Amino acid sequence: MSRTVIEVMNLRKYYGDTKAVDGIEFDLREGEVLAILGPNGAGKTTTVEMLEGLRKPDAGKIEYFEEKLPPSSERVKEEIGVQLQSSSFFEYLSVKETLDLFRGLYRKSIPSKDLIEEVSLEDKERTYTKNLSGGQLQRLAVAVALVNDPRVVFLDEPTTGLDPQARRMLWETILALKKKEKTIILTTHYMEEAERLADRIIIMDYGKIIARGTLDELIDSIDAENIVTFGVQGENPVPKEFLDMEGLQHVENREYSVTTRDVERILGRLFERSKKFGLLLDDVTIRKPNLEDVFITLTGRKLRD
Amino acid sequence: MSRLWNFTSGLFKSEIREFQVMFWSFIFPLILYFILTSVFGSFYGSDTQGVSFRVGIVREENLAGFGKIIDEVIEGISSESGPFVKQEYGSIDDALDDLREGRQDIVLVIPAGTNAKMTSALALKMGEVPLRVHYISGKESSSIASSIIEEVINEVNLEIERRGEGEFLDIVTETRVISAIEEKPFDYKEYIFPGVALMMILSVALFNSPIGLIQYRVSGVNKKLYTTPLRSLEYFAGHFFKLIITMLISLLLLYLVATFVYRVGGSIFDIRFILTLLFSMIVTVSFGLMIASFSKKLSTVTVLGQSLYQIMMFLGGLYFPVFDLPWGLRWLVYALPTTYLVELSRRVMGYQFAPLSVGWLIAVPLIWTTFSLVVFAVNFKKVMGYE
Repeated sequence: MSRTVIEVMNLRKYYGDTKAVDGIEFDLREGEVLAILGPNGAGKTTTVEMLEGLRKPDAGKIEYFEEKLPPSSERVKEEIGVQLQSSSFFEYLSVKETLDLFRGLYRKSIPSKDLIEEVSLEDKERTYTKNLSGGQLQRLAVAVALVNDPRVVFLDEPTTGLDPQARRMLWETILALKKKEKTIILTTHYMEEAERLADRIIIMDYGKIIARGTLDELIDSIDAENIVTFGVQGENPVPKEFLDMEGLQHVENREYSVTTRDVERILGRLFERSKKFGLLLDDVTIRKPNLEDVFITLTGRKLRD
Repeated sequence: MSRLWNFTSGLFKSEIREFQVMFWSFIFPLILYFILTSVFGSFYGSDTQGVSFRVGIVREENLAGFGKIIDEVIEGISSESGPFVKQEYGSIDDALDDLREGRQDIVLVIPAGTNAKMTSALALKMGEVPLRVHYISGKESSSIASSIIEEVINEVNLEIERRGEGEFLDIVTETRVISAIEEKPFDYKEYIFPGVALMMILSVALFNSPIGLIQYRVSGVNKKLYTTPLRSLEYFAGHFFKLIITMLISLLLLYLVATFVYRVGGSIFDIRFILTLLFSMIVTVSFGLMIASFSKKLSTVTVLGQSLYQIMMFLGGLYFPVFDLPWGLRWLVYALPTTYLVELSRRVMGYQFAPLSVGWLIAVPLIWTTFSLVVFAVNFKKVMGYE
C-alpha cells in the first residue's frame, strides 16, 4: 500500500455565516490522482487553497508526509507545485524567463527547456506572458507548477475557459504526469475531466463531501444501470401529478431523467402517463450513468447550476 | 542569496520593459531637467532689488548721548522703506544661532564702550567707533546685507562730516564671518540638480513601488509567489533592490546629462551629496511602502501616490524656494520629508534656503522613515496578505 502524502481532518473554513468548507476529511496517497468535483461555490478552491497554505483553516488539521508537516512549512512548499485557478505572471517576462524565475525560488528544479517541451510551448519560448492565449497561459501555469519536480501537484480547474482542443492538450499533459506517478489533486466542474484523469473522486457541495470513491464506486452508489432522459413538448406547465414518479429528476427547463435498472418498465410507465396527461415527449434516450447523474441523484441539481 | 538575486532580476526585467516605467523613471526626468534649465536658467541671478534683509541687533551697551546717532541709523534702515527688517536680541549666542540657521541675514553688534567711543570721536575728534557685523560668507543674501550695512555706515560718517562742517566721525564695521562656505556664483543648473534627482527618486518610490506591489497582489502574481518557498522578507527585499537599481540607473543618466551637457561638476560628485541621495532613496521607498499598505485597490494607490507626489514635489521645494509661502502652506512644507532631503543636498552644494540646522534635515526624514516602516509593518499583512 502506498504512503499517505496528505491527511485532512475535520477541515472547516467559514466566512461569516457562509460555511465554505464544513468539516471535511480525506487523505491522499502517493502517486494517486484525486479529483475534487463540485459546482461553483462548492468549496473546492477554498479546500485546495488551505492545502496549499494560502488560507488558514478555522478548524481542523492538514498534515503532509510522514513527518506530519503543516502546509506553511518550507519543506512542504519545496515539495508541492501549484497551478492556481486563474494564472497570472509577470507580464513582461518571456515564457522561459518566467520558468527561470520560478526555478530560482526552489532548491531543486527541472531545466526550463524540458518543461517547455512538456507543455508544448516551444514556439512561445521567447514570447512575453502578456501575449499568450488563455490556453497557452494555462499550460505555462502547469509548467510553472512543475519547475521544482514536486511530489504533490495541485491543479485548480486547469481547463476552465479553454476551448476543447486546448482542454484535450492539457489533459495529455496531466496524463503524462500521472504516468510519472506524481500525486495530483485536481479540482474541476467538468465531469469528463474527472472521469478521464482521476483515480478517486470526491464530490463536494455546500462545503461538504457528499460522495467519494472511484468512478465505478460512485456510479454503483446510485444503484442505476441506465438513465432514461426525455423532454416534454409545449409551453404549459408540466402537471405535478405527471412528475410524481419514482426516481424522476428535473434536469433543466423541460428536461427530466429517471435512473433505473428496469428500462422497459420505466418507458412503459412514461408513455402511459404522458398519454393520460395529454403530454408529448421528445428526445427520449437511454444511456449508461455518469458522474453528472451521480451528482443529480445526490443533490437534485446539475453540476453546472 | 541566489534566490533573492534571481527574484530581484526577474522583477527588474519585467518592470523595466514596460514603456510607462521606462518613460517616467528614465526619460521624463531628463526632459524636465532640460526644460527647467532652459526656462529658468537665465531668470536666476544676483538681482536682489526690492528684497529686504533680516538684521539681528545685539546691544552689549545701551546707546545714550552721541551714541543715539547709531540708534537713528538703525531705525532709518529698518523703517518701512528701509532695506532691513530688524530684530533685537538679548544675547549674541541667540543672534548667531539664528544667523546660522538662516533666520537672519546678518547680525549687527553694538559693542560695550560704544557710547564712550562716540563721545571721544565727536568731542575729541579722535579714535574709531567699531561696530561688529557677523555674516555668512558664501550666502548671497548675507554678503549683500553686510555690504549694505557697510555702505550705510560710510554714508553716515560722510553726512556727519558734511553737516558738522569738519566734525569728524569714523564709525567702522568689523565684519566677522560666521561659517565659511566657499564663495561661488549661483548656478541654476547645479541648484536644480538635487530637485530633479529627488523628483526621479520620488517617481520611482511613490509610483513604481506601491503600484507594483498592489498590481501584483490584485493580478494574482503574489498569490502564486506565496505558494513557493519565497519568504516575505525576500519578497520585499526583492522589491526594494529592484527600486534601488531603477533609481541608480535613472540617477546615472541624470549625472551623465548634467556632467556632459550642462557641465555641472564638483559638488554633485561630493561623497556627502551622493550619500544624501542614497538617504533620500531609503526615506522615499519607505514612504512608498506606507502608501501601499493603505491601499487595497490599484485606483486608491494611484490616487494616493499621484497626490503625494505632486505635493512633495512642489511644496517640498524641489524646484523653487518654499520658505516664504503663507503659513497655511508653510506647515505642510515643514511636514514633508522632501523639504529636508532637498535642502540637505543643497546644503552640501553650499546653498542654504531653509532656516534649519543639518541635524533637523537628517532627523525629520529619519522620523518619517521609522514611522512609515512601522505603519507598513502593521498594515502590510492586512493589505498584502491573500485572505
